[in-house]
Amino acid sequence: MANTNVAAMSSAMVLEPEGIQTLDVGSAMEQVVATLLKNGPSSGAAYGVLVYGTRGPRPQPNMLVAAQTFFRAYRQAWKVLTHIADFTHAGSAKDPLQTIENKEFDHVRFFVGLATEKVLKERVKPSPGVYIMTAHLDAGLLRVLNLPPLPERFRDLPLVMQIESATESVQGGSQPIHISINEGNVLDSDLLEGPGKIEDEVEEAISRDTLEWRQQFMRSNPSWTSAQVAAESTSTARNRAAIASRWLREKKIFAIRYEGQQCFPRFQFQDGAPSPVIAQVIKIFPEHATGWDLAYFFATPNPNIGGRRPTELLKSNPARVVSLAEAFAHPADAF
Amino acid sequence: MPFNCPAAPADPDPSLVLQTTTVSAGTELIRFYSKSKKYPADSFNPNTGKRIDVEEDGARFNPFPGAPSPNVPTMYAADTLPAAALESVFHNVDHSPSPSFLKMQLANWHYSRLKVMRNLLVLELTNPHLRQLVVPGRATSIQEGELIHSPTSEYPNTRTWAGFLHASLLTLDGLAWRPRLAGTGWSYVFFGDRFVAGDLKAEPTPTSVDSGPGYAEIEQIAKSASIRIIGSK
Repeated sequence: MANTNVAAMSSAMVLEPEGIQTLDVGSAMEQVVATLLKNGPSSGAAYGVLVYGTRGPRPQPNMLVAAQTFFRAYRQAWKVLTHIADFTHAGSAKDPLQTIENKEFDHVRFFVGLATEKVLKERVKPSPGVYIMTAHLDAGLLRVLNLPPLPERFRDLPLVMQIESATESVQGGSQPIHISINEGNVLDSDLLEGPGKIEDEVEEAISRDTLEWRQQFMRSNPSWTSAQVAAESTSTARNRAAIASRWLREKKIFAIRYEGQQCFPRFQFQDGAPSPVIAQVIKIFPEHATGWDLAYFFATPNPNIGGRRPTELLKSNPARVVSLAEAFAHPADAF
Repeated sequence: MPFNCPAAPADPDPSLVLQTTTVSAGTELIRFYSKSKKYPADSFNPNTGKRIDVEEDGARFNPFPGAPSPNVPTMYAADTLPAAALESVFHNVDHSPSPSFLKMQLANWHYSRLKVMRNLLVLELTNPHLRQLVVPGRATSIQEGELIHSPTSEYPNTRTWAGFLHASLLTLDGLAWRPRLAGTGWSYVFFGDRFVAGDLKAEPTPTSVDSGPGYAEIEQIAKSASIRIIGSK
């Protein structure tokens, strides 16, 4: 995403415990970077900074409107944080400030770690939207505001969350969510959810157990990107580059999201094409099942086959895999 | 060390005398059962079309054929919520450190409280009560460990014992055992052909366990058994 010129921004508001303060963009950004400034003076107590663009009506310095914009932005950022699977804070001495972005939600960016003023000025560029300084949002306050707490691994870190355009949706009514589409990938329903859905949904955070299980899965089960699926494909379709998307749409294969990437576990393919049994299993699973649910079924030792994994039977006994999927998807039917 | 389970005698033994136990009228039980099948809490699983020799076609004591051929309807229940959950929802969780369980599977379950309305006759599957049960071709009787602590691969054989006991003791309403995973309480399987309407009374609304207070209970039970719940999203 291109950096936005400061000239295109009219003003900023700083949200503080006492109320809101209207400032020029430059001064407001100083409050943002203060929380990340190495050896800097104490950074004050501002919760967030709202930067307004020149589009749309002139912003009203209204505390309730500002608070609503802030809450909305916080929920958007929180949701993206929960999609960042395996973050560990690993800022090096040379480059202590980490910038985390998620391709699917490219309007949200996270700055983690302490850095010098020079580095911060280069990296934390002002652009219309909301900046949230999480250091000043303690768990008790978030609870009172009915906002979900930060995932545990992001707590107690110097962190600024930037939600681009979050001020425009209220002021100008422009689209606050940008969806990036690359390589003709199928848009999955996660990305097509409107901002309202994101705001309303209090989704479970990914638990540590889930994360660890996924990391283990990725270590043990090689996956392909959509480009690799296309490269390995024996399909003669005209648009071979988009073959993974097509197979996904046709429910012949499933995808999982890991570190912001769409991945296709390789065990689904045989000789460059989807194994037919994969489609049968997808059909047996409930509508609401995710790619991770399917991945779990295929890759987990199954007591009904003596602790072997269904992936081991894909070639030798696909009919049994279907029977196991039936029992797995409807476990209570046995009782 | 996993137990194996030998098969029961092929034919029923009408002369068999066993020490049975009564589950008294008024006892409250909890039953986890299928949400998708949509049958009421006090009705039995018909086990239609299920095969005794296919592990995933049932659980430890179902299905088994009745006379002449269709499967006997069955119902599992337990006297505490943890025992009921651990013996049904989590029955396939292996005995290893921090086993995992996929949250998606909870959507298929709900539970109801049931009240027993008449005295029920059950056989406790504990060693003292199993002494009279002879294993074909073996000097020692069938043991609790073989019936209750054997892995899923033994289900085709553990089911034969349910069939044998059902066919041999014509007044038996079901079996009782110490829950394998819960440690305390009692688990039951009941034989549907020995029940009439009104023998069990169910609370009006079942509790879902994939969200809300039901999920909180299940999460707590999983935690107490060191089971990790793996999310879907």
